Amino acid sequence: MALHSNGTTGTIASLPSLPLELVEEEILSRLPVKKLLQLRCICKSWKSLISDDPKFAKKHLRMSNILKHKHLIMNVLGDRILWDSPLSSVFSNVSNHTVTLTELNNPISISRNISEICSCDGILCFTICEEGGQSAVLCNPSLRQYSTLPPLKNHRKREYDYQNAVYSFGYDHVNDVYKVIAISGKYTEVDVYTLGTNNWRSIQDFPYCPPCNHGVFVGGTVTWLAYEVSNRNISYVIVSLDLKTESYQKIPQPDLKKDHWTLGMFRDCLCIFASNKMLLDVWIMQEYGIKESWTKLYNVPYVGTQCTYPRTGYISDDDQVLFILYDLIDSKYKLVVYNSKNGNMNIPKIQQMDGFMILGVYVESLISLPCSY
Amino acid sequence: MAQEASSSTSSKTISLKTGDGEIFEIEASAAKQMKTVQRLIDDLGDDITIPLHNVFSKELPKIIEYYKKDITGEITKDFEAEFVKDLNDDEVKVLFLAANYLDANKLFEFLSQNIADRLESKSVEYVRKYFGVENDFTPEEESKLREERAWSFRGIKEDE
Repeated sequence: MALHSNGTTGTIASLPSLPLELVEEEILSRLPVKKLLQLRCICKSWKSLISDDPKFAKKHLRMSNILKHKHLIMNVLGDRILWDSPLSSVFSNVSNHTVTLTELNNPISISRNISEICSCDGILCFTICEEGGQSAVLCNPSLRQYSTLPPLKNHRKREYDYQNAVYSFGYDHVNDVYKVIAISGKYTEVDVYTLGTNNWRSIQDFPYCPPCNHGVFVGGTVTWLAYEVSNRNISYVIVSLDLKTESYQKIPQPDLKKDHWTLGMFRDCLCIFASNKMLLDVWIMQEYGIKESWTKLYNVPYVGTQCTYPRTGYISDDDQVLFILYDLIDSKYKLVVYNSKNGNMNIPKIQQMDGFMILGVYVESLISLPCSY
Repeated sequence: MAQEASSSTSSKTISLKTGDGEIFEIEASAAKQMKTVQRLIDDLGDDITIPLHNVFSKELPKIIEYYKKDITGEITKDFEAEFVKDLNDDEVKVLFLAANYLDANKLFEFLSQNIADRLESKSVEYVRKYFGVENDFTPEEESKLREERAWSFRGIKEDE
């Protein structure tokens, strides 16, 4: 898909300057965001391309995913600091490598307890626990942009709090908009906030017992692990919300022993991280919605008496599994990288992390957040 | 990148003439990877020397070298690293423009990435000169822009 050049001569004496279309399409889209932000100073048309061109932002996002310009965000529960590290540093197998950490400045509003981090297209959605309850803040860490949402309690105007709402985040590719989904913890009321608008909208109630944790953005849906009560038995149920139609679907589960489950996403497929005290299994649904397509991807054996109930897991493109393990011997939470190809467990050297960690992974992106509400 | 199963083209070579009058030979299957060349062959026939006005004798042999490796499936990361190792930034730029003119997609993408990698550590002034772009900001406007995202101009260790 090379573009037509303007017939410049190629002699050494007069090295040609590059036509802008070539530059923007191919070269700039491969640069990390930090570099692009510097290059906004070059001239007005470059500034406009980098900061105000949604088409270029999309192309850059595609390249960012291909080139794996991804980062890990870490927060120790109760600590005010948000740490950022390039994923390549976390997965590095150079011996004695210390993971590179950058402190991410954040406004006062999110320096209280972060309980959840959702991620989509380089935008993070933080769930913040405050005294009055929970609220959500959006962030593009590559651009250091933050955006607060209109308060949920103003929308429903109830006496009871919406405070324990579970927030999730995803992209509606049909309408080209990003949406935040809030499920109230107490009731099954569900509200949607579309980025760029001024208010929440109520949609159909959640069809099962509400989830405790945020949903995963996968295959054009947000999918949660929720609960179902039948015959006085409480069991897991996997529920998805199609972001375009805003309708729910129950997703068939694999027949697994009742271990502790968390959902994840890998290669745009839904995954289950099923753990007990001895091991962690990762299952993947190769075809969304098809029960028979559930396949066991990896089996991660623990060493000794460590016990893990990973809340978040991430799988890299080269089949390394990242999760948090609680070491009973040290009484410490640790970030672990399991290499499924050779069975090695590596604990990356990360300073500053002491306590229960919340993780998120984001891809570098130029997608701009609308002004704070 | 399907190749026609035609025995008559399997060992055929095409003659290419650069803008400065030199002639180089290339295998027909390699020529196929350069869409501009293939179009010219389709129009002019494969017995004629194909004129390439915008490509010169300094670049064409290098491009031919790349596609020679490509048709035997031997392009590796090591080969690519070696291929650009001794080229300076301007030489890569000329090759990149030639690859664009020739519509040689694989080489074009490889060189785009190589240029991006080279520019990642360069200053704004260098990048401006490299692309031949005029700065149409006033000094005040430019320094305001730099201030707005001052953190992006710093290294990994943050001061704040």
